[in-house]
Amino acid sequence: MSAISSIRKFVDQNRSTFLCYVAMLALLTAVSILRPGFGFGDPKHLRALLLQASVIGLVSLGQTLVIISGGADLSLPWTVAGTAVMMTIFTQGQDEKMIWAIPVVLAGASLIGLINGLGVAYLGIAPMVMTLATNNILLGLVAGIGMGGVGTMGQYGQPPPFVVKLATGTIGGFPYLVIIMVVLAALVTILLSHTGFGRRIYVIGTNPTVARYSGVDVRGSTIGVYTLNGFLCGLAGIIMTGKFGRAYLGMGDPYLFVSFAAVIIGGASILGGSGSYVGTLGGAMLLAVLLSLLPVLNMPRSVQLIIYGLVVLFAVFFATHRSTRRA
Amino acid sequence: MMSTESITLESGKKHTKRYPVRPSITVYDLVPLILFILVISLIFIIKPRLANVQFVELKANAGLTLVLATAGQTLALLTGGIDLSIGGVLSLTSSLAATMMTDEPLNILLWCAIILLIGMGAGLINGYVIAVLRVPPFIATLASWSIFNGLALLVLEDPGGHVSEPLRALVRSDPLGIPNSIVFIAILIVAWLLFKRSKWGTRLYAVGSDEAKAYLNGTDIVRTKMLAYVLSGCFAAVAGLYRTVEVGLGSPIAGDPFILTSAAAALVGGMSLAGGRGDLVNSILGAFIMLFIFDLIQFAGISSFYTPMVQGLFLILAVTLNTIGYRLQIRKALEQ
Repeated sequence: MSAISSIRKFVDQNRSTFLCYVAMLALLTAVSILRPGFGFGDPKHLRALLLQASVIGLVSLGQTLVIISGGADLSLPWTVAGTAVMMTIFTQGQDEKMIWAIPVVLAGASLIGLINGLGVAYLGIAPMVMTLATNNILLGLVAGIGMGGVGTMGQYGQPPPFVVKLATGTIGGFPYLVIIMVVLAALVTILLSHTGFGRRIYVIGTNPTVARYSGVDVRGSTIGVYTLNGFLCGLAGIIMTGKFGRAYLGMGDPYLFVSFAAVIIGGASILGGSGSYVGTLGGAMLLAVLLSLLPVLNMPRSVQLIIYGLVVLFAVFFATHRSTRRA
Repeated sequence: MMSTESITLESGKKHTKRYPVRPSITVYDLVPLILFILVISLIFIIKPRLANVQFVELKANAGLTLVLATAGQTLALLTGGIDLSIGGVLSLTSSLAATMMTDEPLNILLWCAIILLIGMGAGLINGYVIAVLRVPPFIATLASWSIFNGLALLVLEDPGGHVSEPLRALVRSDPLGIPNSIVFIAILIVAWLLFKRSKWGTRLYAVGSDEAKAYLNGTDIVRTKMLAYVLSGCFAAVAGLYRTVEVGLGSPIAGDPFILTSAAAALVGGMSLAGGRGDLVNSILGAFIMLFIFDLIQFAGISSFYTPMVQGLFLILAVTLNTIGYRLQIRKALEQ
């Protein structure tokens, strides 16, 4: 009895996350039945789905942390594109140069995050505005420097073969990227639920004033969250170069909306203080299934956008409706 | 500005209370104007021969789309919200204007009306989702942006279409001797100044500065927010129509650059994401500041690819200045 009630309590506490997984599985089952050769009927399709979900999950890693802390990161597109461009320029498609290139690129990405954090914590600029400004600054920097003769046609060199293998290769039919994602997901989940820093992220997201009076270093934690977010975006940027086999301007643009959507569908509140990375992964998988489903049903991009919007709207409405009713 | 209010006390005595309705203009409200003068004098110092009528006309014509989008954004920001769907509505009306409008006067009138109705409808939906369903504005309008952008792509797949020539001639004509865009901006400013002092203008500020207190004072929060988003949608719809006429073609992605630029322009103009303060006139100045930065960079011989970077730096600078100004203002008020 107590086991059942504790499971029930667990489900009740994570209702949005569960709902998200249930919706994803239901959708996948429906496709498998309606269209033989898709979904569960075809391991290849399942693998493609997992890969797609991993990419969405990868770019949403930092966004999850930032949203839980009560912020938002609009600088994601050009942090990803900028680090990808740095990566290909530094390595020029050679594995040997990775030894110094990867630390430099990740340090650069963390620096972008640090600047965001300093602006939010010390200048008191709203996160949305600060990260919007950084995004514009990066856009200008990457495009401007790129026109200085480094790239042609907005493309910047080759990624090292090792990164390409990491992003597209498989081991025993299982993609490396999915394995990387599982490891990262475990690390971020442990960080959020089992460390003091993780707890502080929730606390400053719930109520920064109360957090400050409770002795939490709000400024330090904010800077920490944004720096970590920059680092994770850098990681995503590096892996993206391998996935696409190149770096190009605007390669991060489609991921801004997707990262927000994944985090929100996964049950996090846009106002901060709640959410989990497991939820985000559920959101990423649901989006991946939707994404793969729409071309199958011969739906153009226009209809995809409409459905995206409706799904996000529905997910948010459900989440807010529940939380206001409880309050 | 002072206002008087009479309350009849229980004892039958009339008690008259005087209280300030809105803080009077301080030096801190002039930050956008100072920045504007700074930027425009820099332009004229670098290129003195640009100080002529043609330049002003050119800038007014080119800037009206951003001014309209920023005006809409300002109203949403005033209530403490934000309207990202401006981009989607702008794209949708731009696509519609470029595909549906013919040269017949009746057809033009009909489609102008439909475009306005679309703007209103979009605003009603946003307002309903935000005010009644209580979805946070950022995510609600992000979702509706996606929906309207999808609709725009349904209407027009790639940039193209045609412009209704009579409408273009009408917009380009200058019956008063000055370009219509300048007349329009002037009308907008006058309308705003009247609106700001009206019942609904006060309510907009009240809801933005403290929703709970505004509610307790009898403000209809739902209607006020609805009004803000409906006006915002209408501005975006007209901006889409104007952009199509001005550029000469429609585009299903016409609105995307305006989402963030309109917010940035309003913020440079002293708006706050928290709502309740700022002024539409300052936002319009903010829009022109953003446009002039582009010119400045070109004149300085820097590649125009760096424009977003300078705009970003300027955004941080302006918001920091506004925050410092606001804090000083509060400190001064507390000391009194």
